[in-house]
Amino acid sequence: MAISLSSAHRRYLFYGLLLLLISAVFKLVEIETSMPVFFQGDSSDAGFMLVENLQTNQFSRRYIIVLNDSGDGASQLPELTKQLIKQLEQRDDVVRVWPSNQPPIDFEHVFEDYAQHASQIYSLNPEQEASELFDPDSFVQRAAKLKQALLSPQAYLVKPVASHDPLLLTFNAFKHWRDKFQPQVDAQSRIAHLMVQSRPQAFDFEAQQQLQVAIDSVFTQLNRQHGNRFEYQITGVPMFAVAAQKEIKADVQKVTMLSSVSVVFAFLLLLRSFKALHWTALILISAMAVGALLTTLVFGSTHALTIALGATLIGVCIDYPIHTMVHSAASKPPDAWGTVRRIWPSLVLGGMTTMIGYLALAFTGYPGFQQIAVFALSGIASALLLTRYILPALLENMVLHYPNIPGIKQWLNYCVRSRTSLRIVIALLVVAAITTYPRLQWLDDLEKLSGSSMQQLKKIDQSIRARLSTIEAGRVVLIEADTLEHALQKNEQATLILQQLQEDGAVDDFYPLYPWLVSQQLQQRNLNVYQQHTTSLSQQRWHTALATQGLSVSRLGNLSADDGATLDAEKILQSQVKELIAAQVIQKNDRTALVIWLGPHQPEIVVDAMQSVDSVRYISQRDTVNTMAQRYRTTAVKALSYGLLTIFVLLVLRYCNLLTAFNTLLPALCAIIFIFGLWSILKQPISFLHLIGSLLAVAICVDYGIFYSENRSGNPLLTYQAMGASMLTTLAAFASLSISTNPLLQTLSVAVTLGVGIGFLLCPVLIKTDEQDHPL
Amino acid sequence: MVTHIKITLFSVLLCIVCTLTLAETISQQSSEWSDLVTLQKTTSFRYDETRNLEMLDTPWQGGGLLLASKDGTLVKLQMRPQRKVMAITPGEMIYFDSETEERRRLPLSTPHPMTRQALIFQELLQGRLDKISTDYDIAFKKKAPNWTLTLKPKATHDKPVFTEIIMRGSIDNTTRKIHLKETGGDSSTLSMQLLEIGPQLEFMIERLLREALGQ
Repeated sequence: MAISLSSAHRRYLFYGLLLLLISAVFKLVEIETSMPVFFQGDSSDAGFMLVENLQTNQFSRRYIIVLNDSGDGASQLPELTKQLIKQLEQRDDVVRVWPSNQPPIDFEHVFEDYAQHASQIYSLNPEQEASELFDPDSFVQRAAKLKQALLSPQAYLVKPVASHDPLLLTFNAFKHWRDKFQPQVDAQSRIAHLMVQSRPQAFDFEAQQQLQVAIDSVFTQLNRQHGNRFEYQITGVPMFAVAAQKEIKADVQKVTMLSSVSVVFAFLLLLRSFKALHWTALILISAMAVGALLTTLVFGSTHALTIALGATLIGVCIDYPIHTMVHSAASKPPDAWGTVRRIWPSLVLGGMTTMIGYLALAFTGYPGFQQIAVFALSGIASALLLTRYILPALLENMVLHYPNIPGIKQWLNYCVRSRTSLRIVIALLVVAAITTYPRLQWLDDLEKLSGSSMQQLKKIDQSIRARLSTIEAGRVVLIEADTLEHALQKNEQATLILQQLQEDGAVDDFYPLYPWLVSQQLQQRNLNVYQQHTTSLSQQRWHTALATQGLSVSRLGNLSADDGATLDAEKILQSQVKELIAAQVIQKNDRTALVIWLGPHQPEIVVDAMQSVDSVRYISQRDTVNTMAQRYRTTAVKALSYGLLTIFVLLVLRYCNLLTAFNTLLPALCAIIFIFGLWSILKQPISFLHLIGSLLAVAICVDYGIFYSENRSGNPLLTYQAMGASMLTTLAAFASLSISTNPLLQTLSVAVTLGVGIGFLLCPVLIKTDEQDHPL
Repeated sequence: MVTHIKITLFSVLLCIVCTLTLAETISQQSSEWSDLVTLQKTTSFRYDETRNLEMLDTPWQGGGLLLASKDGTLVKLQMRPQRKVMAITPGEMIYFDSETEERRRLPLSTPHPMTRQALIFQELLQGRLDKISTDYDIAFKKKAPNWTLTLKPKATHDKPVFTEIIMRGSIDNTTRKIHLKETGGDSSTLSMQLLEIGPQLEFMIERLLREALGQ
């Protein structure tokens, strides 16, 4: 029914459809800007759970501010710190502000709570430690130590513990943590660190940006009051999140703007018609709108990077109207309907090969590229259909300029004259390029793919964190189990091993979950051993020891422990202790993963040691992400191979001739071989992005092979001019990506621009048509 | 009408006179208080300490030297029963047990019960009445030859570390006695006897601080 519509009706239908599409885009399309969502997606692997957890837990909402007093005389930092804390804590988007040397929990009460369970938590290995802990001969000495502790400045901590746990077993449990509670004092008192717990999610860009501006403004105002004697630095996940978002936003704006302007400029230069530009733009806008809508419908939102990369679709989809227009301009009299019918099979085949290229992206594993695939497929299909069924109606009664690209005719003639020698040169170059392949280097470090502003932030972050903590960023022992209890049991085994490694010097420091969380199994073992050793005889000896030191037997003499309530890990995770350990406990999808942070250590020894405990392993967050990149790279190689094979099969099916299919594919293949050779010579490490860029270049180049090989106009120069016009607009679109600050977009730009340019130039050399020997 | 205005004017004048008189009395008292309590020069005392702890059946006895410099640094060199150095500098608390070689440092900005105690002590000896008076009600009595300063936490003070602080001293400042009652029920008494005044003590303070810091 649609085919029988008049041209005027088709125009009105198109306008209506366009309005509907644009309204739907404004109403329905949600833009996502989180980089982890684009790269990591959802995974059930514990390593990825850890990475995800690090990006979303409450620690991710925390800022670290470093204050530096560079003024003369006595330091005014304590005063500034107080004022800053007071002013920031008044804000609704700030939960709490505290000096980093002061733990965010009330140890006095926390220890008293744990002391009530001392007989259940005192040791990781109670059977082995019992003889030392409950040796009645050591009671006199222990009573003396207790007295010392009660008289020391630490009495405020010891007294509440001793009333429940006279043997001070609680401190035995926490002995590994003891030094970590000591606030560090800067010798010169010229540097102070403040922690700011923000309320909004780390990736709530708007809220976090407001807070960052507020922090800066409060500091500037206070600093002015103190004669500008202070400097400050700030870090934290929200800083990265906001910077990344700014970078992406700026990239999207720049790329979209430049890509559009350059494509428009190329179009006007070639076809010299604002009217044609107007219709082409509307077709492309429709294609992009369909892409954004379908992507949002499938994924719930469209990522900003998808739109940035999707903008390059302008350069691909514009080929179809341009081909139609150039061929139509050459036909006498102008016949857009006849032209589009004639070249339609080539357009469909070209469109399908491009779609295969983008579809292969979906299989690379990156969630973001699955989005791009949906975006591109729907965009290309829409552009093709609009070119076939709407564009001729729009072009009716329009006079189009035939583009005469300088150098095209000369290059075509030169190729015809010197084809054999050119082919020999190309064959030699192909061989030369392939011989360089063993030197190809792979890049699987995703960190190197972040923009320059990120690198700067990372440097600041590393310098701040190095001063604050001994934790080696992102290197942990990871414990996985089906329940929290099982995970805790394994955690206790791993902690024992780490204690041994620490004694051996292989691990400098670590942050265990014991005794914050203790498995029910270990609590029972502790209690059993405790009850066995606290007999009436030992109790009597303890009383004697207390009396010797003048300590109160009535207050400190009771060593009995009953089978009372145990320490409930789930309850602890709801208490204030959560502030310390929440980032180390990940519970998701009925699985529990526990994390033990490590200080400086020898990775190989830790890896080996952890192999002895089932479901416990050493992982590096960075290695995990890079393993993921490695996996994506392998998949990208497969995607490239399968993509090429599928395109080849499609061509074989189309031409029913292996040689023709191969010849059509050859310019694209050679282009890719050259690009990889070039990367190899330039020693540029190849990431999955290079592979993906190559795949796109192949998909687009094959179109040229098809157009040139099928030569639907019967005039090779006309066909090549049309291809040239398409190629120039594609180059304009992809070359625009190179101005992006994101290396991802830059890499795609280089790969596709080079691939498309080389592929275009090789078509008349490698593909022979009957008419080619008689160019216009 | 005129009578009404006269009465109002008279009342206002009376209020002004009373306020000025009261302010003068408080100011004089504060000044007197400050002159007696504040250690104006670097000073050393010999001290004897008795601590009554809930968890001790018999009171603990100790003693040693207490040195105070005019910048607010206090060094307590405990010599009996074990040697220990405890110091409060303008920025931090330092603890050193010579027997166990245990060293501790704590910035005074840390809101610990320990630092709260130390700050009160420091502010008292520096005569910083304004700071203490925000949390404690202060009563000063002078009856020759002694004076007594009593501090009790205000009802609004949410985390008092002491329920009462009584400081007694002789007007000639040769003896002092400080009695501290802690919220947990423990108490301690520090009896101090003036030993020496003068800048020469700074060297000793410096040396003890270095020892405590392990330098």
